Amino acid sequence: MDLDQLKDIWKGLDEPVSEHQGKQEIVTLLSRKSQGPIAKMKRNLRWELILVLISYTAVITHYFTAFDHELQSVAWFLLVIGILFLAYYYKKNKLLNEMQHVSGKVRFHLERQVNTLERFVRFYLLAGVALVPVCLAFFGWIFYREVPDMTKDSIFFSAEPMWKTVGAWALLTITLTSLVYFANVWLLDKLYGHHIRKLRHIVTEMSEQ
Amino acid sequence: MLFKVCNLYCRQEHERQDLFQEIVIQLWRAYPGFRGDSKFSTWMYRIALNTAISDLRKKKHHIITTEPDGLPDGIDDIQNYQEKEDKLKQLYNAISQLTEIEKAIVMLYLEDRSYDEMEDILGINQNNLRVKMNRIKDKLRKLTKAVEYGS
Repeated sequence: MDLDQLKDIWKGLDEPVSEHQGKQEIVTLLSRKSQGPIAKMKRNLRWELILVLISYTAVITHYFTAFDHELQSVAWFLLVIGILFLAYYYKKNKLLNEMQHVSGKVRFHLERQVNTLERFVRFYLLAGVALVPVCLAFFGWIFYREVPDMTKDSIFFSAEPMWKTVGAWALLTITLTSLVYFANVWLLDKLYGHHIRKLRHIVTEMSEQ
Repeated sequence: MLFKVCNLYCRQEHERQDLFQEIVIQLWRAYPGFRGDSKFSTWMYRIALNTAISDLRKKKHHIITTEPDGLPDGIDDIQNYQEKEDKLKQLYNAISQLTEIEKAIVMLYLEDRSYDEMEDILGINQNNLRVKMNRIKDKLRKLTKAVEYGS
C-alpha cells in the first residue's frame, strides 16, 4: 500500500454538508455538556465546592449556636479550614483552566497538559495530607480544654514523663498522615495516573528522533 | 476534516460522536482568541488534534473489520469503487495500529499539508518529521503485508 496513491481517495472522503444542516448540528452539539476529562474535572470540582459550602455552613452555624456557645472554637477552626478550601478551589480551578487552552502546537500543548496535571495532583496530595496533622493538633487541643475529665488519664495528655505524651502524639500523627498519604497516592493514581503516563509517553515519543 | 480526525482516533460510533462534539466545543471556545498568527486551517488542526490526543479516555481497543462510512456516492465504475473501498479499509486497519502521534502525522500527510505546516501544527521539527514519516511508511507497508498474507 502506497500512501501517496491513497491521497486522492482520502480527499474524496470530505462529506459535503449543507450550510443549514451544519448550523443546526453545531447548535445542537454546543447545547450539550462537554464530556472531555478537564470539563468533567471542573464539574466535579464545582460540585465539591457546593457540597463543602453547604455542609460547612450548616456545621459552622451549629457550633456557633449549640452547646451554650462553648464550642465556638470548633466553628472558628472550621471557618478557617473553609476559607483555606476556597483558596484550594481557586488554585485547582486555575490549573484546570490552564489545561483547557488547546490552540497551541500539539507538542507544547501536551507538555503543558502533563506538567499542569502533575502540579494539580501534587497540590491535591499536599493539601489532603497537610490537613491531617492540623486537624489532630486542633482537636487534641479542644479535647484537652473542653473535656479535662476524659483526658486526665490519657497518655496523649498527661503522661509522665513528658516524652511519652510527645511520643504518643508523634506516633499517632505519623501513622494517620502516612495512611492518608498512601490512600491519596493510590486514589490519585487511579484517577489520573493512567492519563498522566499516557500523555508523558506521547510527549517522549514526540521528542524522540 | 473534523470527521476524518474523529474516524482516525475513534473506532466506535458513539466515541466518534463524543469526540466530534468535544472538538466543536473547543473550536467554539477558542475562536475569540484566534488572532490570525497562523492559517485558520493550522489553528483548526491544532485544536482538533490536541483534543483528540489529550482526550484519552479509557477506550476499549477493537480490531477494526470495517472502515467508517465515507466513500462518495455516484461512482459509476463499481470495480473501481470496490478497489478504492478495499484500499481504504486496509488503510484504516493499518492506521488504527499506529500510535496517537503517528496517526496525526499520517493524517496531515494524506491531507497534503507541507512539512512546514506540519511543524507548525505538531511542534516537531521538519527533520524529525521526515524521519518519522519514513518509519511510518515502512510500518504501514509491513502492516498491510501482514494482513495480505494473513499473519
